[in-house]
Amino acid sequence: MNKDKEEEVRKKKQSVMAYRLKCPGTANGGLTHYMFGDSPADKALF
Amino acid sequence: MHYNTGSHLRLTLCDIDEETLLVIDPDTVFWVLVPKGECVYSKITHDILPLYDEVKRECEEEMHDFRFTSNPGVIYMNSVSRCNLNCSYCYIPQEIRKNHQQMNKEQLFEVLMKACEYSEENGGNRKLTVVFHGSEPLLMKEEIFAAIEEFEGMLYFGIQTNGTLFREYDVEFLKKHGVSVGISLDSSYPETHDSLRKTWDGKGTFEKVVEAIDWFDGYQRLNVVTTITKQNVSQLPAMVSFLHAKNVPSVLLNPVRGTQGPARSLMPDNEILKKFFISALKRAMELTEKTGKQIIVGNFANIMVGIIAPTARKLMCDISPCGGGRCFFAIATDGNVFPCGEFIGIEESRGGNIFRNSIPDIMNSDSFERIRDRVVEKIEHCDTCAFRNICGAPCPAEVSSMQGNFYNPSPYCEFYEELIRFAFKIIAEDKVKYFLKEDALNTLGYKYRMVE
Repeated sequence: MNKDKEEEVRKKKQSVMAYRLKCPGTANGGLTHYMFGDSPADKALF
Repeated sequence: MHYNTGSHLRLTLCDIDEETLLVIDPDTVFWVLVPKGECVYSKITHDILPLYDEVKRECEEEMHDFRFTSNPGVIYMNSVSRCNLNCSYCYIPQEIRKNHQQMNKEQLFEVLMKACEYSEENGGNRKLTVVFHGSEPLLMKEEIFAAIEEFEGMLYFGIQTNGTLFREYDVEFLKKHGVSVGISLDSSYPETHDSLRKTWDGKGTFEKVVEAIDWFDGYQRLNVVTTITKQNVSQLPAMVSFLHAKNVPSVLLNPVRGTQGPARSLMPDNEILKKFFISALKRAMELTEKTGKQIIVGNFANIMVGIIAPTARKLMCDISPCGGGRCFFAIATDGNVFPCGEFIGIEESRGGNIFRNSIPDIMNSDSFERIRDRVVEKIEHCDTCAFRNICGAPCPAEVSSMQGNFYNPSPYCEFYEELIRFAFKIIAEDKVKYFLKEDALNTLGYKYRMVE
């Protein structure tokens, strides 16, 4: 990692951080234990 | 306000690395990352507790609903028992794979019709996904492709295959119908893959599988599954590079499950697994950063999601209780229904038969309830772990088979612990976008957020 990047990472790690994302339409939305499911691929987080 | 007394009983501190401390409520997965140089006590009192107080109830309800609602969305169809390969670690017992049984077209259509009716009875808002799974579904390609055409629009479809029986026009058919496809490839080194995934007479399959992956050429619903064993664990970073070059959008790097005896001798050591898995993640991040083209490591992405958006998980192994007999179930050739493919052949976990019992009756069976009753709070060691609702102590079939009782932690416990710690490091460094789809991330708002 170059020095600029090291500095950028160091600064980010100096923040107190907490968050949670809203997940519309995914209540009990865990879909399957493989990569299949009814979530359109383009809207899925992965 | 005081923490760890009265209503603030749950906040736990744990180390992430030399610079970062984690404050977490293990039950709701409310978490805060704090730099170690900061006065942690002051941060907890002045910043963290007020936020925790504000969001605690909502997080609690969200996690409870997510964990304890039973609403199957996926059916795994093991509609053919035979396989043209004899992989040494297969979770389906060898006597079943040698047995030439398969559902006929009428039986297959009967099951799919039942799935559609179940979806209708439940309001019809959610189409079920049917995944044609083990042994090797493409051995009954004609019937399966006919089903995909017949039930298009009523069900979603996926195929998990060893990839050796594809013809180029099959690939075009699956793309045209938007079918999700999982292909197994264990190494970018032909000799390693061929030693693990071979035909019954010992012939390798690497070339054929890679040819099929090339035909898919960047198809967004393609996922490659790599089963990690002692033999390929050190090759994981090379595997990520290889698949990235092949335009594969996502890969699952799954440590082999020890549910079946022959697989146990192939299970990688936790220390070695941690080292090479994390190297593979770093490789994926470097490639994404360098080329702008992402390769997602699905099972790590799911852990990341389990932290930043717990109910958006896609893979339901690392949640407690797991998705088996709750979010999905598996149907064997003879119609017997099991909580998950891992349980096929384990008679006491059978929940009924799809040709004789209704889906609600199967879901309410004692054997399915027994799986849903396995929660981390009842497992010694997990019950005090800060990461218990991120990891979920998978997998009940594996743990039960290896230890005689599924109220035990995962054999890969240390590995999961390290992956979760690594995920928190990635969050602290604000690099989540390299591990999840950035476009999708940007569309989601925050339930709550604190950055100081």
